[in-house]
Amino acid sequence: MVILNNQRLVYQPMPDRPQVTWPDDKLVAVWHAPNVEHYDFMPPGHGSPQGRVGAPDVEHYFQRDYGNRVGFWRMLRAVDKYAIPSTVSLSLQVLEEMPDIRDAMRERNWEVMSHGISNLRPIYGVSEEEENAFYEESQLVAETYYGERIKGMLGPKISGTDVTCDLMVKHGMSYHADWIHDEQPRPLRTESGAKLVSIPYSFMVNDVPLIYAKHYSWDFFVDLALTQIQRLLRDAEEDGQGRVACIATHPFLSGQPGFQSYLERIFDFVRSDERLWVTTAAEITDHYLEHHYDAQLAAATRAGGDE
Amino acid sequence: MTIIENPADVQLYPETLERSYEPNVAPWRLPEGKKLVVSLLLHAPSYQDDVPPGTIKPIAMQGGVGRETGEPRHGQVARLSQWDFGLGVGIFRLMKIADAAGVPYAVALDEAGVTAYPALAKHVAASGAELVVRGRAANVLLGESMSREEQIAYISGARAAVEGAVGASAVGWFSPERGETTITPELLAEQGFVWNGSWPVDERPVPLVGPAAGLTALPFHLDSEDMFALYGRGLAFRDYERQLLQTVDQLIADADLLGGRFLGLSWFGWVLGQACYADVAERVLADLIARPEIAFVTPADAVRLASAAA
Repeated sequence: MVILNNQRLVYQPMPDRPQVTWPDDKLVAVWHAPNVEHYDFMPPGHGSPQGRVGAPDVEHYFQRDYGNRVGFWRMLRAVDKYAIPSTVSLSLQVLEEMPDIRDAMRERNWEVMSHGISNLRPIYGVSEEEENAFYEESQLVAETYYGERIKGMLGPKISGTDVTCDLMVKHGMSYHADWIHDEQPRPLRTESGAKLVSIPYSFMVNDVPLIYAKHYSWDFFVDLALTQIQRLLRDAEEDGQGRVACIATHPFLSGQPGFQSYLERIFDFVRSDERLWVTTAAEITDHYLEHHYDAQLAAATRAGGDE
Repeated sequence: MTIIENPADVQLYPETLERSYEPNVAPWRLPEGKKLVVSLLLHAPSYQDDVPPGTIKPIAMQGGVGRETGEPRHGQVARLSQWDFGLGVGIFRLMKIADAAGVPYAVALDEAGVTAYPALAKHVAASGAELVVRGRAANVLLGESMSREEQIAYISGARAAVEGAVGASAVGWFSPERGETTITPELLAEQGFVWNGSWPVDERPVPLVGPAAGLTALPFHLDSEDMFALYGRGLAFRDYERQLLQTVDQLIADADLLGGRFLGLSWFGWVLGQACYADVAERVLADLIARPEIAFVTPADAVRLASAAA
């Protein structure tokens, strides 16, 4: 029985929920999600990557490849300067094809969150069998090249199917970042009943949607990011509900020379406030699963919030 | 006799709206020296990833990954979940902000939202907010291809669901995506609705005529709406805030010349209720509530004020 997407969500109004708290009485968990992506030079079917020119779209491909050749390393300097734990939203192809990047991430103990194999290979409309094989391959790649299994996913090009959540838990994953319906981790219903957590990602505090798609300035990006976190802190101070903020970046944009000082402003702010728990998606998920998942799910069910 | 020969299938004007222009309209005299009536309408619409066969859906709507407004491919949950943010988090942040400012408000709910999330309806019931019916779902619309009976069923079904869940009656309507048909006002009037907020048509409440007599178009303008400003136009949030305050300044100034003005603030839980934008709501309401020229009332009370003055 397929669970419809609307029905995956476990609803309870924020004011009614059992409290979520973070380690050391921190108020807001902040996770940095650099999207380190690979785009096929000639994608499957040789379709146009951006609907602009036919494949190969060298403008599109090389700007993104620049992100891995140069931008990533500049971004890394900012990450290192402020010791920002990072949850890489990774095109897993990178692990196999770009050992320099793989090793740099490994040295820093970055957490790998799957972002598919390639960002030009979405999983829309694939069969359950194909999607199952996709997760098998993803975990094999991660174990082989990174030495650990993947705990979560942001769908490749933000794609999924009706059974994505069910297959993710089957392959040992515990969080999904495609859902942006909350400021806290929330349970997602799965067919087997296995626990899957929605971890708050952001398409707002996210350089590509904000700067490329919506044409805002770099300055605005910083303003929005800081405003978001400051508001979450104020609200968490007031109601005691721990919250989550995500800072999503892409090396081909946030790794550009002119952006470095803006990125550092965000990291500097994040490191300057002791009330923030600067961490990774899996650490947030694990803490939530251990301390809050059952209570929040039970409360939502008991209250008939959405039952 | 006209010079322009219009195509046979064209309807130049809605038959329910009098063609009256500013210089020829008697000034709206507001009580107690007020110059501007402001109503806050908070939207809590539910977006449905799967809709019934034959549903009339928006061709374009906001929310999701980037700037694209077409329907996302099935399997992408960004738009669904972003709109749902409004139901679990955003609407409550906005209600709290309005309560703290002492601002009365209305909440617009739809059938899908109250059916799936009874707790949302309970909160709205407890808030004392004016209840507004917002159709079946954010992306389940009224459309010209529907029969009269289908449209009646759409409106009455949504109303029954929303009123039943909240345990209160509603006299206000707001169409999802402001999607209507030529007979929507008539049907709303027939079903006893007092106001419809979907028409951004004026700067004062406009009583409709003919088959829609009894219904008032209460204008919630696009430029003061968060979704239109921040998503449709892509305005920066500080510019939106400045624009709202400049609008209020001008409306108050114009009232001396033209009579009382109305401003509808149309805010969505999934938009201004986001942490990055909520400060705008807080600062704007604090500014407006402190101005003695402003009467902050619910939409239904705005219509009553207009009716009393007529």
